[in-house]
Amino acid sequence: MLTKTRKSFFMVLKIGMKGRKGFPIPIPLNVAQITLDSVADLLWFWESLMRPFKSITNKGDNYKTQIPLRELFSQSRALIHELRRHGRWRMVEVDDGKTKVYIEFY
Amino acid sequence: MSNERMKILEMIQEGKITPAEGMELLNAIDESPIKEKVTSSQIADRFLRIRVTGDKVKKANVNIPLSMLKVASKFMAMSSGFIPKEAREEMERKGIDITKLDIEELTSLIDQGIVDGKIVDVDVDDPKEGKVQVEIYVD
Repeated sequence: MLTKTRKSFFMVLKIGMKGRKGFPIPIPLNVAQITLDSVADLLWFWESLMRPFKSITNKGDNYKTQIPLRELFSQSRALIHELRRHGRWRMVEVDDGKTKVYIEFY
Repeated sequence: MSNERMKILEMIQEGKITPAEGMELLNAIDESPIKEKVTSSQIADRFLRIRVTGDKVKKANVNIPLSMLKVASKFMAMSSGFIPKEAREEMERKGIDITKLDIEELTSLIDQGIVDGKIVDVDVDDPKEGKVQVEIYVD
């Protein structure tokens, strides 16, 4: 881990195949975090004025699972915050001889 | 004075154990490693690392921050109800019961610093894949 003091800004998914040049897919984490924060604020504002949104519900197999939207957003924000806090690091590296997959944070 | 020491001294006083036995118990308490509670900042810097290496140029490395495990555990608790019935039945056939997974206990063990060092170290000799080594540890 080269840098721990600054937050990660990108999650990069790299896929490479034997004999071919790989390609990276960058995902801007700061944009995702700002978007989630904004939507969570909007949700809070809406629910303060109107009635709360219905929870995401799954009915099946003799039980019912409900996830409040606010809780879902809250956990998503916490997850992105945790992903960003370690600076530059590699989360996943898989190599099966033919295909290489990396997930790195910069 | 810790609770264990007090109990031992009470037992000596009540005559339930002899002073020599009490001394042995007190020494045993002193020798057991005292795990200081890991602070949240120490947990934040720790990673759960999973290493899989095989003979035939196959490898997988996964690094997961421990602090992220705690957040992810809440997701797992929320989303376990959305696993399709067929997938759940397949998992139960292989001996994995989602309802019995105690994520809270795992996160509390992480908080106490008990999940530390090498957790799993397995060497497998597979006829197809050759030698495969699996290591899971915290550092």
